[in-house]
Amino acid sequence: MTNNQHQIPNSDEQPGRTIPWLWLFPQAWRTRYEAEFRALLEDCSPTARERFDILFSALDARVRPQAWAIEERDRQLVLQTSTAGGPAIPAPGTKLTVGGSGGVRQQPEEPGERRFTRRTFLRNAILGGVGVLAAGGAVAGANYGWPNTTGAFGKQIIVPLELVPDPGAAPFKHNDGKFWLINNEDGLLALYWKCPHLGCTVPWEDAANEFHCPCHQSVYDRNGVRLSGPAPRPMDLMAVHLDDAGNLIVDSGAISERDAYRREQAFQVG
Amino acid sequence: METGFAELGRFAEPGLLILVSLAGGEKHGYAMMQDIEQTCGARIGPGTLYAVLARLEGRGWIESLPASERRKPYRLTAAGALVLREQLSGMTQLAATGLQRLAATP
Repeated sequence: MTNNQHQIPNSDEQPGRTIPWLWLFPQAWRTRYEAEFRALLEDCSPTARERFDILFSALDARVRPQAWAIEERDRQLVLQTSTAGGPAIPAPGTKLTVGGSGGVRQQPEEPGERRFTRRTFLRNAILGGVGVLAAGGAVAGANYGWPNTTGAFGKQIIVPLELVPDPGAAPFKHNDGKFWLINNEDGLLALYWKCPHLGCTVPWEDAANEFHCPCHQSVYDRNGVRLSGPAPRPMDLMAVHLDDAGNLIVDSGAISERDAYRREQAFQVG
Repeated sequence: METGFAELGRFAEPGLLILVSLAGGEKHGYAMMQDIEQTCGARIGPGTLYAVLARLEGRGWIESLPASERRKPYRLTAAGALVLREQLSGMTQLAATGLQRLAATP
């Protein structure tokens, strides 16, 4: 069992501690607002929807800095209050007091500077674009990687351990995942029930202790290896693993062909 | 009088709620969220809240005060009060017109 993974804290349980997307905010914004924003998040425990709201605000702050940039006359106040307040991240933000809106254009660009040049526009546009892609990818990735408990075919399927058959017993048929879970001397196999010959669903024949395809009489042993019939190869395998929480996962989206049975194909539950 | 309030775009509505909230006295972020939720029944997410606060502060309509611990209170400036008054009286006019017309048509 892989128990070492259990140390990873579940960040979703402590919304105030882990601040979503905070790194996406521009440095100047963080210098000014990060400390109080953190305090607010600790107080209000944002919902999932509000976390996305934070993401969009971060992208907004990057893409349209001119919309919130503080005017020159207010910057003195910013400096005073932010030193009094003591922001959590010490600031390259002393730059906030220099480089006014009417400043010299040819001045080399400073990290905290807010003037909106073509270069900063490009950078912000690119970062914003990357941010949107990353967010989309994160959502898609979370969707893909999240074990689907309803167990639709093509997804990762949690098989409750009490449904795992004993060694040598008849296999367990998982209808949603379209596989047979069988326990042999080397460990577990998740056999995709589709006959590699012409695609019929292969039933288990308890009396024979074999799989018998009714369509063209291919016969497979407990490891899914063809004993007779027209099938070109053994039954296909689905990947089996334990997740961090110790659930047995059959990935019905990860189906592999094989030409023979080997011990490594079997999964040891432990 | 053109105050530039409409330039807030989609942040205009939460901006108005925040200005109204601060009209009742200085508040830090979470206090604003609670106040707005109680008085208007609307919940403003923290991301939107700070996007709006930054804009209002950038326009000089609100200003931040020295922080107590890490929670920084904000208060309405004179300019902010002017904008809010302008905005609200415009809404009063609109409401009056609308109600009149509703009353006129049976």
